[in-house]
Amino acid sequence: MWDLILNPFITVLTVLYQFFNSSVIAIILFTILIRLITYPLTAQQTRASKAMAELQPELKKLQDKYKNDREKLSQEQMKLYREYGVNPIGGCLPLIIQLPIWIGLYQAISHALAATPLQLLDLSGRFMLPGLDRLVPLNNIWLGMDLTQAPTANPTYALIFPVLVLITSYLQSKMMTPPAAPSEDGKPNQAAAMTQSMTTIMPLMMGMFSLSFSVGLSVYFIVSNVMGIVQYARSNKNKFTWASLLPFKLNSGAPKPVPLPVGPGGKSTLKAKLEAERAVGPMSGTTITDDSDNDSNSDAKSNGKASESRVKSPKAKPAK
Amino acid sequence: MLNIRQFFARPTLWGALVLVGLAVAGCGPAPLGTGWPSISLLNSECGGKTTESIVVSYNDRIVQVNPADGTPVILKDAQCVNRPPDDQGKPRPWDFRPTGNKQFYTAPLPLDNGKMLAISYDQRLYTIDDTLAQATVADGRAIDGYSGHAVTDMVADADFIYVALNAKDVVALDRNTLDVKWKTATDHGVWSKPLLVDGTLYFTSLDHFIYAVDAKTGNQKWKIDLGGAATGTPLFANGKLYVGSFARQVFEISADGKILNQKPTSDWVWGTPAIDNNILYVGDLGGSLYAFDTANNLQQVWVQKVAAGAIRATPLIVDDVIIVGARDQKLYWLNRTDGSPKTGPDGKPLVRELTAPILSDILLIQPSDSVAIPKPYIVVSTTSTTQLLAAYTLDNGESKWSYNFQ
Repeated sequence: MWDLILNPFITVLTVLYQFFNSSVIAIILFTILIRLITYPLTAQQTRASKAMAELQPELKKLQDKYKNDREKLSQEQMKLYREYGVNPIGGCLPLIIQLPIWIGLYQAISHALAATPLQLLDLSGRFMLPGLDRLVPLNNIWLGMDLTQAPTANPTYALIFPVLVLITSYLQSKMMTPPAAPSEDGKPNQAAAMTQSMTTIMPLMMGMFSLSFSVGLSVYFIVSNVMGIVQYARSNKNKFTWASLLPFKLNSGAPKPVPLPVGPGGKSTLKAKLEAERAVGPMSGTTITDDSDNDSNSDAKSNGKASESRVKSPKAKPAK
Repeated sequence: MLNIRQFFARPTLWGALVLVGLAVAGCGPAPLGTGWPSISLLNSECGGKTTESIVVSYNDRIVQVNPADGTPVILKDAQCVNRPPDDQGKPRPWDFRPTGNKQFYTAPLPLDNGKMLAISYDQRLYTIDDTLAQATVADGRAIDGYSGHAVTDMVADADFIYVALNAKDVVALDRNTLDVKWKTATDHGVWSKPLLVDGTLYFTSLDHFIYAVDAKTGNQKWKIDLGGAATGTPLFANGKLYVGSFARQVFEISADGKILNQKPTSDWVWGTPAIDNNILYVGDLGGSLYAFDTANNLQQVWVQKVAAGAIRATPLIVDDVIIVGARDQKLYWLNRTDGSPKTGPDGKPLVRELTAPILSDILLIQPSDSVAIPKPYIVVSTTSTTQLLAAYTLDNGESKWSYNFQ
């Protein structure tokens, strides 16, 4: 079953190697190719995750309101999801589909580089096109580095790869993680703070792991991260700023929440915003709160305008 | 978003990260199970008596096992008396495990004066005392001028020890000093054990070529393109060389470097062929076993799809039976005449299933003064440490013992 993914991947990777006669170029192109193919899934996952995040204040209200009636709470939650057109597990399915693809990509690169006897043995019978056997083993020397070996077993300059893995992992996770907003009662949001910590911990761990991974796999991680960053930045080009990727704020203090655009009667137009996102792609990770009184933030104005111009919704109305 | 003070004021978090990083990046154990055991028979003199043992190199250890019953060989002192049990009353087995998370892919090379030479995956050379299981230099010594890996056995003559390296070279080491005396380069790693015949060293390389070099000087005599990577040690018989490659071909090559015949296989050929009575037997990684007539231009005699997994190792030929182990974890007894399954005592095909892939060569243990067994055994090894070795009777596959890393 696993071979259904692995064998085509190894075949494509080897064909790219045959064409460019370089393992590194083959890895880079192959990673870009897979990221492009899976982009619709990535985008869908991002949209679904963000929609769920933006519904959290509404869900919190429901939880407070029906904290003693779980059945009613469940019904109201489902009603809310239906009303806003959000699938609560909408972010999981694309992830589940992507996971074997990513694992397959990782495995394909490991197998194709064949650093150990078992890996080389396992490469037999995996090519789906004739004539690729003669390319084995792929040339794994690049710029004086052995792509099958860890940076620590290569010349000193190979240590740049764990650093690049760390930096690109950090940038990507920072982009994809919405900023933490305080709870309505003003206390720190523990769950959001935990998520924020992970944006620091995971890249550090990736950087450390890549000290023991082969250089070839580090190339894959770097390219994959860069592609993730580029894809995300392009789909959020109206609101994305590189300054938001800094690991800390230059001015301390709590982040300013961005108000939702408001509809008639001061009601939130979150639904309109979600519809707009579905129409045009995911928007930025800016925290949205239902603060209709705050009209001083220029982002809020642009949000409202976006909603108005992109969605033909009777509720959509620009913020004042 | 974290502010700068929060970001850096988490000592527990940073401490945990550093520990994880160190564990992952080098202080933790080396990845194991990336190859298969190398097993060999060792005759050693102790107290005026010759003893035979099975030497197993796998993962981070080299151990010795009694071929008669599969028990660990007990460590002896300099007077060849079993050492007393340790403080917990446990016997002290012969177990060489150097510090530094070394890995061993290759069988140690027996030397003179009760020593053996082992080479680790990272090319450290260890001269080990047969009796004491201790290295002369605890952390071994490097091969001068080389870094990289060693994945195949060494071979020696009276002057040199020949070592094939993944760093593209084959080197000759002085037998006494272990200094590099000559080296010969290929264009890729050499994973095949060199074959020494009449002063010529033959070996294959992942660069697709088979090489013949002068064993005294390292000067290349000839090389031939095999069309694909080659990992098997060539077989020399009747003045010719026989070898397979990843080009799905088996070659018959003259001693002066001409391809005389070549025949296709359905998958890569990794291991060394076996020959008997002019019939060449070779398995491929698709699980097929082939018989070719070397007296008749390598004409195919028969082919049998034996296993669901790769046949990497050399087939064992004994009388009218061929025994092969495969990656599908099974051990097969076949009739030599046509490769069909041999019938067992129960009337069914004689097949034994083990707990892990069988990728190493099979040992044949004959009854002798030093091995008290009633009839011949075969010993196979798997990639699982819980059934590292298993012994069966040659004639009917009766299980005799198994050995696991303790």
